[in-house]
Amino acid sequence: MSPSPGPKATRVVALIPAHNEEATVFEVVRAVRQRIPEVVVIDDASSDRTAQVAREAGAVVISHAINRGVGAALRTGYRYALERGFDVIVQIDADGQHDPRYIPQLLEALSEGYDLVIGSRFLNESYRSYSWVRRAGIRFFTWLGNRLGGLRITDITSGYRAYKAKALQHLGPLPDRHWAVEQTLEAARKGLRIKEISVEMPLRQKGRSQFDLSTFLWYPIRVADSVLRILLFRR
Amino acid sequence: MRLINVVGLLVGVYLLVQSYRLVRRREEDTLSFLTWTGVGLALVGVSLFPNAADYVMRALGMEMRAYTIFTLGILIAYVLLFRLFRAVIRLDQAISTLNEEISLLKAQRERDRGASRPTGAGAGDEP
Repeated sequence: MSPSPGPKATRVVALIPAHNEEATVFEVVRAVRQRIPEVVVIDDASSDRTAQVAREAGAVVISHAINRGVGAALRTGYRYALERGFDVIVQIDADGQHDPRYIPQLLEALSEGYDLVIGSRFLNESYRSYSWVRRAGIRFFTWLGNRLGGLRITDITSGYRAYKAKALQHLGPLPDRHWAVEQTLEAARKGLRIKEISVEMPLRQKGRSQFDLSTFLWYPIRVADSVLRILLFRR
Repeated sequence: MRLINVVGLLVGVYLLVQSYRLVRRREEDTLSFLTWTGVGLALVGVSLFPNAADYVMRALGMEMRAYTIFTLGILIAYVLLFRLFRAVIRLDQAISTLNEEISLLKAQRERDRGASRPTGAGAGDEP
C-alpha cells in the first residue's frame, strides 16, 4: 500500500515585466530568487540587453516580439503561470523600486485568506519622494477606485502585488497599458478579498524612468476608459 | 455636361473598375465590393442624370441639391469611419494576441531545447 500523499505544496512564481531595464533587472531577479526560485521575466521587446541579463541572473525569459505595454506583458505572464499550474503569483517591477524583502509579507497576507495583496507606498513616507503631480494622480485614481469599488485602499496604481491564481482566473484580460486601476476595480466588483501592506518604494536609482510626458497626458484618458469599461461591461 | 459631372463620372467608373479588379484578384471581400460598387454606381448615376438627385433631395426634405449630396456623403463617411475604427481595434487586439502566443511558444521551444540537451560531462558544451 502506497503512503497517502501529503498536503500539496503551494507553487509560487514571480513575474517581472520589463522593458529596457538592463541596468536593474539582474539585481532584481537575483534578489527575488532568494525568496521565490521560479522567476519569469516578460521582456516587452526591449532594445537593450534586458532579456540576456535576466537569463544570466537565472530567470525564465519570455520575449515579446512587439512592445505592447506592461499590461500586455503581465497578461502573458499570467497565462504562463496559470497554464503551468502555479498557485500564487507575485508581481514585481524590474526597475528596482520594489524591494523583494517584502515578498514574505505579501505571501503571508495571501495565506490569511486574501485573494489580492497590494504593496502600498502611501502607508509609509516613501511616497513623499514622488512629484506632486504623480502623487495627486495616484490619490485621485485611488479615491475614484475606492468610491466605485467600495474599497478602502491607498495605492491603486501600485504594481507590487501578489495573487492567488484561482482568484486571477475570475478577472478579465488586462488592457495593454494602464492596467492597475482596471484590475483592482474589477477584483473589487467581483468580490475578491483585497488587502494592502506597507511597502517603501523610493524613486528608482538606476536606469531611465518609463514615465514621460505622453504617459502623463494619456494616463487620465486611459484610466477613464478602464473605469467605464468596468462599470458598463464587466459584472 | 458640366466639369463636375465629368469628374464624378470618372471617379464612379474608377471605383467600379478598381473594385471589380480587386475582387478578381481575390484582394477584396464581397461586402466591400458591393459597398464600393454601390458608391460607384451612385456617382455615375448622379453624374449622368444630375436631376436624379432632386428626387432624393425632395424625399429627404432638403432644399438644395448640394446639401443633399454633402449630407449623404457625410453619413456614408461616418459609416465607413465606424467600420474602419472597428477594423483597427480588431487588428490591434489580434497583434497583441499574436505577440503573446509567439512569445509563449518561443519560451516553450527554448525550454524544450534545454530539456533535450544531453546531460553529463559534455552538457552545455557547444560544438
